[in-house]
Amino acid sequence: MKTIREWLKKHKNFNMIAGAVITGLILLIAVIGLFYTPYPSTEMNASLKNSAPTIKHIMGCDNYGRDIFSRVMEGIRNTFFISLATVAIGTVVGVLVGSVCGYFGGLLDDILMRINDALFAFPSILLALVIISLLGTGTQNVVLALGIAFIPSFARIVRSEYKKQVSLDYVQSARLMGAGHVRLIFVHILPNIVPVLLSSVMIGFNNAVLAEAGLSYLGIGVQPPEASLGRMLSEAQSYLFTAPWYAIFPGLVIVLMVLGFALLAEGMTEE
Amino acid sequence: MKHYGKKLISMLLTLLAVSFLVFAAFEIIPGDPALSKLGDNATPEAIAALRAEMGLDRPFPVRYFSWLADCLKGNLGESYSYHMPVSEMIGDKLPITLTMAIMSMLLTMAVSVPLGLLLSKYAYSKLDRAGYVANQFLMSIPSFFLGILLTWFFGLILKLFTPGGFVSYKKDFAGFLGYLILPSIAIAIPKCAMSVKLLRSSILTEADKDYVRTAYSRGNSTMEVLYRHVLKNAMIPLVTFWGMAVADTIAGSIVVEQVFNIPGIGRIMLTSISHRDYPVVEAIILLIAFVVVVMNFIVDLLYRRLDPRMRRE
Amino acid sequence: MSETILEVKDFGIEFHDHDKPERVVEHVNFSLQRGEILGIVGESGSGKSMSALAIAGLLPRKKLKKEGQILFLGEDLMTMERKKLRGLQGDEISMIFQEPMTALNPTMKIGKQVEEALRIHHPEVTAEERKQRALTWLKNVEMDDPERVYDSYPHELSGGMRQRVMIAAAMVGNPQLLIADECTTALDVTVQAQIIRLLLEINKKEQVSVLFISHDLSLIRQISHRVIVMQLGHIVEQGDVEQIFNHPKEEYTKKLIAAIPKVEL
Repeated sequence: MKTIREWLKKHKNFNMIAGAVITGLILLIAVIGLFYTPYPSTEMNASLKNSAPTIKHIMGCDNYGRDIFSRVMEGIRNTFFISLATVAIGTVVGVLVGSVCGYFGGLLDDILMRINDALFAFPSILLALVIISLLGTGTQNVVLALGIAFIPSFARIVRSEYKKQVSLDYVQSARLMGAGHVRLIFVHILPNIVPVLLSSVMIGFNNAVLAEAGLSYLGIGVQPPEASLGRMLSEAQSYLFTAPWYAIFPGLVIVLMVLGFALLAEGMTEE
Repeated sequence: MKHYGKKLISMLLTLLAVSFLVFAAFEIIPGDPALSKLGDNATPEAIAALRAEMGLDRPFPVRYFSWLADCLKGNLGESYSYHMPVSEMIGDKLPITLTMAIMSMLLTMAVSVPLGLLLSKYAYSKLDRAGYVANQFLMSIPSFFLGILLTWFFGLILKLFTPGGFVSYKKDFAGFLGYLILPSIAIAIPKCAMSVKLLRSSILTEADKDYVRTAYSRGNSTMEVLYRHVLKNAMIPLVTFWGMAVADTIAGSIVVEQVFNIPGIGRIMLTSISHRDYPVVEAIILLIAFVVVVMNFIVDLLYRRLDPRMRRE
Repeated sequence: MSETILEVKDFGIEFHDHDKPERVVEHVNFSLQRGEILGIVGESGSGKSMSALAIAGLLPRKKLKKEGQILFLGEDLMTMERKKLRGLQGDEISMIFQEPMTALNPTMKIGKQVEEALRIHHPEVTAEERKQRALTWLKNVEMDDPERVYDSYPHELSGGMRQRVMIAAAMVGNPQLLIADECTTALDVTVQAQIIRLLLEINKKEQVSVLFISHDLSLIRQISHRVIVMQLGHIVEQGDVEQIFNHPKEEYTKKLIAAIPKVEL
């Protein structure tokens, strides 16, 4: 306890702490949601249709009498893992493209970055919509679409970092000592851009959660009866008057997820 | 002037790249447009005939350029599912989405500047801290959830607003604008929060610069230093951000249209995606790209007005 | 007949931004006559720039404590009402700073910056007249094409030009006191010489008193009538320039003089 307090006093990085607490909590729920939910998420109970929050059903029940908390848990799980996969695709491909472009420069860099800029001008959710219209709906396609949609922003950041690093002394001396291109790119330079990458990964999560929720709100994405936070919101809209909690709880959970990642990103840039 | 020429060419190149990517993307997907138009039990002869009629038997580059030429003439093709010209389908919907996007951009600009000034003036005070927390929170709310909350609060509790009561701009322009106020707010709030945060920190950064001390040495008061010297410099990063926010705002409009049941571009885009009505999707994407690129051009002009260092050739 | 423009009495500054208060300037006493150029020399950390900023009224009020008196034409700047002090700044007391690259507002035209002091302190002067005076001063600081410079932005000028613009902007209100804080440090040697010559000319023509602050003894020797040597917040020695350079009394002054490179420019 004392060390935590000392660390707090020294760093005063409340963003990081608040972000870690919120994200940790959400992550915990996501992991628990893999094995356990208070009620089966698809169990309907006609007598509980649109019932208000009670001790047994802390977030109330939806229009089919399903426990909203259980569905929120499942939704968090889905959103979280979709975001994870999305960010993973975006980061890995983005790092590959960005590092090669930034390291080698030249014509390839020009062409790839022109395409990148054209894609970058599009908001990721629109790009994902286009890709989904090509691939069709469904969870895997959403992951793929969002993953592809996130590549440009990662590639852009990584490229500019590599451009900066390439001219530094340590790269020159490693090159003189005979390190090959691949070794230079991944062993020498990559570790140095990790701090920048890490905070953009957090921003990536932040955007992925927003985009996933947006897509599933539009009815594209995780398909019923699987629960997803965005779709819950769109269903809840018809019952806003009778059961406002149906919209409010899933919505708040989305806000918390986004907030957690945003605070982490903020905290990391502060460090 | 030379710069604008360059910018214009780069704008056209970007549009060309987008059009090519779009066309190529819809080209490589499996599925035969002729088949989807005629249905599964069409005879091979009928399909071949239609393919020839639609020009699908020509090589790829020929089709791309003839498609591009058609687009430039305003002929955006024909919808597979509605069998009507795409331009007719989107023509009267585009103003709705654009009006909403423009309203929310204007709202963001009008509200964020005074609030950013306020927070920077009281920097590090309790008000500033509360502002920080509020900003961080508002930034994290997706527009569609904000839209739902606003509908619930203004529509169902205060009864100041009729959800689903959209009026066409052709019938009642004032009523049309009135209906778009809440959706615009829903799109604007997160952008506004980001703008406030950005402006506050940018003002504080500028306030530490040497020219501020020079301005004080000439007898400027704190207010004069802020409004005559600091603000213009501090606006530069904010305008850059607004430039990037344009595209996001249009995307936001498409989602928020669903919340408020507004028959704009978003609605058509979603139905076209689910019906795989590619000509419509292609056209909408091109149109959005066009709008985004033009908006960026305008922001660039504004940016140049603000920052003389950018005017150097 | 000499008239005292500035009199600093038992002046001191104490920083309070850390746990322990830190005294950066202590027991500083000196005076400046009309038309005189007073050089203050010292290494960084000697408190010379702090004192200059305090006289120009530019030290932040929070986090530091000031003591003593700074009398400008008999009135104490330290206890003066803020508004009255602002009335003097840029009009009677002007300052030129070290960093010509950053001391000008990058998004404001040179002309507007040069005439700003007039706009603030003399609203009775018409816009046309303001422009004329700004152009006159731009010409006085040897700008080849004052009209063009008037409509330029800072990034379009070289460092030396910007510093001359700063001088024009400082002089446009005909101040009684000009404070130049390391105003040549960031410039190369030939430009330095031009600035020094300009300051000397202006001093002679306008009878403005100059407080010239520098770490460079040879510059101080070229420009000043009298010299103050400062070290660690204290005045070590002060006197006429020739007396200080030819017969320094204190060890520290001797060391400083000995450290001047022997090559004369």
